[in-house]
Amino acid sequence: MAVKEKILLIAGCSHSAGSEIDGKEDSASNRKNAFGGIIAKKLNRKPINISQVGATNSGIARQIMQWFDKKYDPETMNVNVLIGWTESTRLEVPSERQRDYRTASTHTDWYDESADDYFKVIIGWDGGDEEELRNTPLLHKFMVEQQPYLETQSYNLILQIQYFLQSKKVDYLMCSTMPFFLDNLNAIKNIIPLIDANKYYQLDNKDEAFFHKYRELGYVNEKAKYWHHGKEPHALFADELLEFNKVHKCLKK
Amino acid sequence: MFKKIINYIKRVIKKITDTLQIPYIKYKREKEYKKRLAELKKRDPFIYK
Repeated sequence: MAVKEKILLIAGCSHSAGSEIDGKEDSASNRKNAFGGIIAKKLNRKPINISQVGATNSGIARQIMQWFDKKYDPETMNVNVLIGWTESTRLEVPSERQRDYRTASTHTDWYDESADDYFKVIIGWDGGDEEELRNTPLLHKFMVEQQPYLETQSYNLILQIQYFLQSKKVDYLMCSTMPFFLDNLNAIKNIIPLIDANKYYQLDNKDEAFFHKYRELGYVNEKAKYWHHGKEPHALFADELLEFNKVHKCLKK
Repeated sequence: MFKKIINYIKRVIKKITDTLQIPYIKYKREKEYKKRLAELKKRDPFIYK
């Protein structure tokens, strides 16, 4: 029997892509030095980092499902998955035209083209083209006023991917790169116990989400234009995840 | 009859005061919205064009 190639599939947003570690939005060096790249190296797995800069949680879930649909071969691959969930309020809306987000994720190991069927709504961006300018103000209002709805949707996406990977018998580890805030709502309190806390690093601790934790600790990446973290926070977060993995054995060597 | 007139006057006064409050309520809502928008921008400061 042929030896299967050991792969760590890394999915997420710019944080998982290592954006701006070297000052650039995307580069091979960023992805290598991002927490996922470090973990892949420690586990002797080939990293396939499909994280997209500016990704939403629905986009992250889709990256994973599309990759498995288009690239996964269980006969030749031994795949583990590392997922860094992002800010819940980010939205993706089906677009009237074909878009091109590949230009922002130039060094992804595989590009999920389905992202180009949507336009992204990020709270810090008021839109550029006519479709974005027309829709963004209303969607920003929705994002501000419906945070409980959007967080609930993110938890549902986590469950979607949890059950998807379980159904394929694929080992995985999840973490938050951006925190969840509304765990005191009954609707969310009822969902959280369904998530496997042994495979989700610091599920119930919003202070431990990658970006905010290291920002609060005072780390500043001088090379970054948009506040993404530098090399050190990525290395420290990789260590945290590897420690968690030692106990819970989510990802295999 | 007298009670009916009083109730009518009360309803009219309430309607007038409610109407007069609309601009203030709108202003308060707008202020609250802007505050929450600023909080969210601080929380997710990334810009992707």
